[in-house]
Amino acid sequence: MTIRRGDEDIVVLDGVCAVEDAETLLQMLQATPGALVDWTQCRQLHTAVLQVIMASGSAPVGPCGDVWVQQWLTPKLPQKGTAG
Amino acid sequence: MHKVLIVDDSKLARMVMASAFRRIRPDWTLVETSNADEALTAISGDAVDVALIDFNMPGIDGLELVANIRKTHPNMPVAVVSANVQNEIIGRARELNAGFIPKPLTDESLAAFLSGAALRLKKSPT
Amino acid sequence: MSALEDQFVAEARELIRQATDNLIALERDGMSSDRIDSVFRAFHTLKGSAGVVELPAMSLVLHAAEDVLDNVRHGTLVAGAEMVDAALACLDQVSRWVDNFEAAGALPSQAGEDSRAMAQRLRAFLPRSGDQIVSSASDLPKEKGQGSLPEWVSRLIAAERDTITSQMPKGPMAATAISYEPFAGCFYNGDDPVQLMRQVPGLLALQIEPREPFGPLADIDPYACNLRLRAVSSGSRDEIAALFRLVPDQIEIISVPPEALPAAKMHLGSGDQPLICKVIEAQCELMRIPDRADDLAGCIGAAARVAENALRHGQRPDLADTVKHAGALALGQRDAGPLLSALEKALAAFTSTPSTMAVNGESQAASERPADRVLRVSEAKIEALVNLAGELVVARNALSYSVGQVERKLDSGEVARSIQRDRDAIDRLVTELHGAVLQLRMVPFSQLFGSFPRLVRDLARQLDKKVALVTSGETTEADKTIIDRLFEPMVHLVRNALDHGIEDPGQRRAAGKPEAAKISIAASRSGDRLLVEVTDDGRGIDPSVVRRKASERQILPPDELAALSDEAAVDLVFSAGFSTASTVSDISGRGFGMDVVRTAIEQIGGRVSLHSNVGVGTTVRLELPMTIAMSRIMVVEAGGQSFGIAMEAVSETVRVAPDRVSTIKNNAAFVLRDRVVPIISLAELMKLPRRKRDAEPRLLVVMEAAGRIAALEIDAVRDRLDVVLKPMQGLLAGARGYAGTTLLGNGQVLLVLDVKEILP
Repeated sequence: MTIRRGDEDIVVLDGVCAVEDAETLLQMLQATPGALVDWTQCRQLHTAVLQVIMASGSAPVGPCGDVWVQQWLTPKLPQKGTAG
Repeated sequence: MHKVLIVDDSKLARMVMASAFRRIRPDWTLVETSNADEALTAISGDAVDVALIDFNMPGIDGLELVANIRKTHPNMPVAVVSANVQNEIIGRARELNAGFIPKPLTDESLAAFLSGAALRLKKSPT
Repeated sequence: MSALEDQFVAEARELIRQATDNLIALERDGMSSDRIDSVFRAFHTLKGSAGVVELPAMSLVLHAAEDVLDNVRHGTLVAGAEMVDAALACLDQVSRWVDNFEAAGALPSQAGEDSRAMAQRLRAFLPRSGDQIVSSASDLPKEKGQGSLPEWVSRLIAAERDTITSQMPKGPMAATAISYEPFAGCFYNGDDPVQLMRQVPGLLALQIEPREPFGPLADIDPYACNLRLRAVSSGSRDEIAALFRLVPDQIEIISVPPEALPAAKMHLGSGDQPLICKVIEAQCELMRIPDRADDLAGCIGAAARVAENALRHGQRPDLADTVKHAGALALGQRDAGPLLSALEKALAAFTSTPSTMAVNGESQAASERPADRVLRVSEAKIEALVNLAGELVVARNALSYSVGQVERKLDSGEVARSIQRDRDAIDRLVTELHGAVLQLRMVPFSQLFGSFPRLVRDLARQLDKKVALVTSGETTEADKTIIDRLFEPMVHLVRNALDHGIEDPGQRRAAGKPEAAKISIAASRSGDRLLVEVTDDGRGIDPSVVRRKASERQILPPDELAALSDEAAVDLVFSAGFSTASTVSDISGRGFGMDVVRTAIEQIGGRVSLHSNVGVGTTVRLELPMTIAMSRIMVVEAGGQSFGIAMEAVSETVRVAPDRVSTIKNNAAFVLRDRVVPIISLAELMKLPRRKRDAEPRLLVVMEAAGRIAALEIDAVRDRLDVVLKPMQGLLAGARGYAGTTLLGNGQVLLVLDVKEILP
């Protein structure tokens, strides 16, 4: 389980988020509009999952655990949430 | 759990493929054949879900085989496996709606193709 | 060796054979697309296989050969004799390496050098060698002219100005711009565009954006890729093209000259350093939260993993390992303390020292998987099984002996019949078992014949003769030992045929024969014997020439020579020191003649005969046992003891009246069909009491081996048996004159004579 529902309106990405997780994430975000995505514990992000995050229009919480994504891609996403 | 057809005239290549499967998708079943004719027989007789086909085979080559498979299985996830990484081959594979996996085979490239294949099977079961 | 490596060796040998055969056929029969395709495929698959078992030297030469053959295939190069020579030499090299690999699991140390030399030799055939006509170069996506950069490149550079300058260590340099628009369906083919971008060397800037604006979340198809990725890299165009080689139709690669890039700012340390610190700090924060009893384990595990990854990314595997261990410790103690302190220490160490390039020491564990399950039996085990089955045959013989005794005592009662029936059943089973076990060692003649097309081709080329080789009976099977031991004699026979038997094309024309000569090798079974025939349609062996040579070389006295039939005279070519070649040639003048062939064949229990017609050709016929595990022996008695004589050496048993035996200087002899045969008393030879019976006819076993003949005088012939010969062991190990021992039915150890040692 690499995508799970955290407290209330938080969706947690944990470990390796593979292509098939994109659909799970989309369903959770569709079910809970405005939910936050916590990707601090994500180790590796698949493009499809990233695309869902981008399409949701909301910035994930905290620095991405996938260091490469954090360095190269986070600055390109709309900034909203902060660590905590 | 899916059934995968591996077509390669080299037993060594099939062994490499099979051992990669044991690591990546140990629960998927494998059917091995060494040429196109056997492959077509296997596909017509068996519930094959995914096919991994060597390009470089005597007689009917991998792309011709994919073209043949497409006549009856337009949506089956199929990949052409080859060490000839040439635009022409990749392009023709793409036209046939097939993936391309380069040789030497790596777990990463195979795993990536298989997760895509699993997606496709989920969307449109064969 | 692993099953994979075994398979590699087996498959490589088969591919080498296939490539060799087709190369030779190509040269002989001329160009054919099927042939060249098959040769190309064999080289290509070999190259791939070498990659699988990680033999770069082998891959290198095969790649060069593949390039040459690819040109032949596409008609840009003609497969001349020299090129075929080079390709065959390449296969020879690869074949030796396969042997090395099988024996030692590695290639010899000079393999790299040999490989480069061979690759160079091969590449010299390429049209305009040195030019980049290698596949990868011609496959590169087309590069647009420099000077006028596409608009997207200029915009990308302008937008990423700051990022680019902060990433460039030493001022402006040439760069490469990449635009990657993955197909909508790319996820289904397993593509992960971000993953591909991660591997871009020297990344200076990256942009990711939707190609079409995203619609409302409810309408999103998560598996339709709608992204465009653009990047600037300090890597070369070739590097980038190689990385994106699988998506050539979705990528645009543009070389950016240094002047098109913004001037660099100097900066210190690794670009990732602040980020990595930030990640580790975040994990520290996480660990400092008190009272997290419920999900503590999960938090520790996740924090340790994230920090570990960040540190590895920052080229500090040492710190990463420390954090990993601390994480495990913390999990064990259910206390964040150890991890927190390790994280703090790592943070301090990471910020105070520049990143080091300690990249070695990667875990080997991942590659150590349980071996593939393939049943592989060593030759030694099969040998043991063969020996056991052989012993069983002996035990069966012993049983028969006992049953015979019981029968005599019980005088054909009910019990005797029942024992007899059981013995017959066991007899049958043992025979079947023995046969089945021997089958394990049976290999087809194709294994032996495989190297001859090449041999004939090379020799013919060397001698400027035209020869076609025809083989038949490839599927005939024989014991591996026989096949192995047949190789050298067969090579010699074929060499002889080519060198001495077959005429020059000119001579053949003059004799009204087709220019191309024919050599055929045929294997077949005849009852329980194997027949191998090597036939040529050459000049044949002239008995008068043989006679002349024999007398020159004093093989036989002139009068004996004159008495020989033509057939017998021709047979003299097998005599030691005989050679019919008028000049010592490079081919067969290698210090051994046909006598060596005869010896080698007789050693495995076979016979050689030769039939020749002057002007028509020569056939050498080898008659061989199916297997050499069992020996047929004759049990004889002399001086009150039994001895065995291998039947293959016995030509006949005769009774000779005392008056036919003449004694010259204490040596007895008699005349058998015009041949003087010396007589040796076995009892005397074995230092046993000799029976005095001067008036009785003498019992003689006539033995022939290695071209010599003698008669062994014995008291009686007891039996003829199939036995398993055991080499002399223990106290007898050094004894001369014995071929070995065998166990008889009554438990007696029988000494089997080595006829070759006994013959005068």
